[in-house]
Amino acid sequence: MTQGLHSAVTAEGLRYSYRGRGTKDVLSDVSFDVVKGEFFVVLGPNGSGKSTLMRLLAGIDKPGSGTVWLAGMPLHHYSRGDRAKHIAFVPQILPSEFSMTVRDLVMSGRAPRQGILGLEQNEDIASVEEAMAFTGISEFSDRDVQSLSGGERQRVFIASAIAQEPSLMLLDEPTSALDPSHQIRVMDLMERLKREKSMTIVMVLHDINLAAMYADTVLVLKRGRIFSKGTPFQALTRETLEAVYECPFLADHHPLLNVPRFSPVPMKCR
Amino acid sequence: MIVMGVLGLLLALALVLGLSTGAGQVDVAEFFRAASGGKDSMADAILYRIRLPRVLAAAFAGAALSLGGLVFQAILKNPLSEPYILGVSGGSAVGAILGILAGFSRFPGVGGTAFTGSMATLGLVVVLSSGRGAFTKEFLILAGVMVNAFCSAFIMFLMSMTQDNKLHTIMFWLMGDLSSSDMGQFTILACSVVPCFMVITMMSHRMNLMLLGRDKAESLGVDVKKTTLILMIATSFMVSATVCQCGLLGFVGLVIPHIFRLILGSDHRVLAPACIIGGASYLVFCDMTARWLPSQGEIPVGVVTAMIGVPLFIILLRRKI
Repeated sequence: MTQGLHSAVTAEGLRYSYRGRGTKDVLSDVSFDVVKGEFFVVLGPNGSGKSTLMRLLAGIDKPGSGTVWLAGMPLHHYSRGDRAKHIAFVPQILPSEFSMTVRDLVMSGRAPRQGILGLEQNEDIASVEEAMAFTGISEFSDRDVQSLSGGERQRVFIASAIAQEPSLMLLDEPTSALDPSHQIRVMDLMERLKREKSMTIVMVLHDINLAAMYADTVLVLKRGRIFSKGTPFQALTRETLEAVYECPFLADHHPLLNVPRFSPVPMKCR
Repeated sequence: MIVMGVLGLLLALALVLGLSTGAGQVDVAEFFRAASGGKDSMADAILYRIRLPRVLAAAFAGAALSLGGLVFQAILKNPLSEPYILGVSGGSAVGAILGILAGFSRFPGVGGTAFTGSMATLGLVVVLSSGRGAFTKEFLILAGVMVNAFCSAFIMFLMSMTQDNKLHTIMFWLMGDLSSSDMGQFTILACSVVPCFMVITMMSHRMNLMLLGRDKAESLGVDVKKTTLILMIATSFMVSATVCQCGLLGFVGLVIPHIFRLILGSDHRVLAPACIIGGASYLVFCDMTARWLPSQGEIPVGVVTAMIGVPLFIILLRRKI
């Protein structure tokens, strides 16, 4: 198989299992295609293999079998440096136990385009300034990342990923630790990134309604397998969610957008 | 840049003071007279044959231990890391004591057995943590601590079996001892540690990226496992080379990286040269104090490094919080 012209990244028969923990696969037979410039959201319960899938797409871990295709070439044929020029990854847990200015952290995204010592060229500085302006963090660029709130820190890591100038950005639960206003801020930022820089975005989310509001395509995982995939209306139905999360849901329409909306039903109302 | 200038001046000052201090009657004025080409064979002999190799050995040992501490604190992400944490101290001490008991000369005999011992323990730690552990920091630290603990027990056993005259030699080796350096030994030390300084400095930006966590560093194109292994081997090699000549000089490698991190932040491209120059100045200064303070003989330099370093570090830490 080769990859379609309009694909940003393609997963072909991905399988993964952790060594020495029995033979149960974390992911099995996962195949899908992410179209260039789309907002692609991966949903699923805890332990369904979402984070593992992101690490395979990022090339951090290698699949047990199957292939990740990036721009027409298997990902494992890329050198580490070339891969880092195409894919930026924002991990779920953002470390903060070191002292570093916001600007220096954003500058770390330039590493794949710099020499081994990471000496800054004019284009690096320009790219960092632009990424900080885009994410609205310029006013605290000299502050220490340790002193930032969760929402600010998340935007700093996104700015760093933007400065990397990738064609594909992978984010693992970027909104899970944030309050609702910061969640919307991060999602709006990603939508602007898609619209203004035609970046392809693949994101793991826990919030079904955020996924419905922003995603072009939703992929739902259950126990390491694809349960459903398509537009929010196709992939997210009450039946799907109840089967995947094993909990009753109410479904209605979002009052402002043409997307579905879901609420889990508490035990006292059942 | 300004920081490096200041540190450079400090190092120059420490070197001059170090050369001007000691048991023989050669003071600062004598030093400048001899350095500017004046003829006095007695003063020249003291300066060039005794003090210069000692001061230079102190400088390179201080630099290697401080840089080693910096590297281990970065890759193990543990503030208590010091250059001996992966078993280098235990292995080299066992090797050195066996060498002393066998009646070998200080160098290359005891130095050689110490170096062999530390390389053997490093190999053991790498093998122990390479399989399932995959060089995660928890495995490395635990393997190192266990190997060191086993070696400590073995050292006590050896010391309990030893007669008094050799016990003194062993004690001095365990406390760190710069007194026996000559120019030949110093040259070997310099040739062993300078390439390691270069390798580690080249890796300093990758150490910055690895602060962001394994996943982020990998996604930025860093081979975390390979980089960790290179850093570990280069660091252990240079620390072993230092230890086999100077014994277990304590505390320098723990406190100097922390002091510079408090002052300069966490950019290893700045911290690596700062630790090299600053660590060199610090150990030269401590060694000078150890020779100058008592009216007869000298205090072990390991005592001075801790007695000056601990208060200095606590003051900096209190001011930062």
